[in-house]
Amino acid sequence: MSHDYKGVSWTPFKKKYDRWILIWVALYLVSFVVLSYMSQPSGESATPPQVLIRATGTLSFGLLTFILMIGPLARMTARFKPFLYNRRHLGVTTFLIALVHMALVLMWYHGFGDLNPLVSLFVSNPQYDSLAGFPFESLGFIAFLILFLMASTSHDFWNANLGPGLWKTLHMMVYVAYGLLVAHVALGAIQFEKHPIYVVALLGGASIVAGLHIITGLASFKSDEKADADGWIRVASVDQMEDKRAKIVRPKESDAIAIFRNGNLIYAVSNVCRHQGGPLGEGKIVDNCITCPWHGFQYRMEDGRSPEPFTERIATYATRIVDGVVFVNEEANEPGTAQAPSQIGAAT
Amino acid sequence: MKRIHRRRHLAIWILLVPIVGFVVWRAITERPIVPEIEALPPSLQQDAG
Repeated sequence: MSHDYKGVSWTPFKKKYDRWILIWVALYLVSFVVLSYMSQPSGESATPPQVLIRATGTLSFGLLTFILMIGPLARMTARFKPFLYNRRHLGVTTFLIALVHMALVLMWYHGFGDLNPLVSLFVSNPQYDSLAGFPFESLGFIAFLILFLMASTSHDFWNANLGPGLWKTLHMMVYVAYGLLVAHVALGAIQFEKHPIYVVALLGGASIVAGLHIITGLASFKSDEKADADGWIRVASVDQMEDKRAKIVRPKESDAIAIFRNGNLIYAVSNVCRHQGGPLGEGKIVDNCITCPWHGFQYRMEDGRSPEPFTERIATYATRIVDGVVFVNEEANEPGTAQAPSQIGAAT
Repeated sequence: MKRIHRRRHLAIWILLVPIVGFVVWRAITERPIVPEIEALPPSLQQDAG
């Protein structure tokens, strides 16, 4: 939260999470190299750079596959939310491993000729009109450029300067990058590697990622709430509203609303954090402020404004309680507009 | 996630799946099948060689 740019600070959890990422990456690379040499058929000898190219290629593709599963899985079960809130670090790690993969490929396969390795990557195999013989490395390179763009703008500085809308649109290009990488693997490794594990891993991983995104995407629209003629949407009974927490409703024609209970009072604000579009309704009330679970941006419940000196504002909504049931009106107030809360137990 | 982002997100996946799926399907079905010559009967090894 900021009246000016302010970076997101490291927390002990994020540090622990980063250590685990490094441990798993190191374990995977060492295991891959050891197993490659142990299972190598007699008479065949892969060079160390070739083994590392395979190790970093499979790891970066596997990590990206896992990263893309986190979003829909977190919508299905809260267990994946810690991964969701720390996904950026995993994304940058994936980029760095892809960088090593690409550097090794350029040096090993394109570094010994007269041509510039980057030019060689695009022209050494000219079969652009063939599918099976397609120069798959070019697809990997384009995907790498997208990952580079994303990793280099992943810092909060760029989010603040590009604006949340453009930043989000830019980062949605990861799906295009993933599509290019699936094609890169299918037209590359799958053509050369005889072991069926490569086909199974590619098809299985890509199908799960695509399936999860489409299923949760469709489900999110199906669960949209329809308001009554006056714009009121049923939220939950008062007993179901946990103190300091929120329920989220998704109106059919507008953005999601987070309805918080704070003691005997009910407040409603936009579910979308101004910082990076984080789900405020999955956060909680800390120091009398709604606190985003992603990076701790805070808003006052009564008017949707960040406490001084910060300047972010989100929309507020009218609420009411009828026969012990909480309702919210889908009509949003202007961001930062004060809205009186509903009181539990008051006459309706 | 904003509603517009949910729509875009779903649209991207609905577009990606058939395009990438087609490429993967063709890539797998057109894979060059290299017989392991040593595994073939001697009479066929000569032909394969």
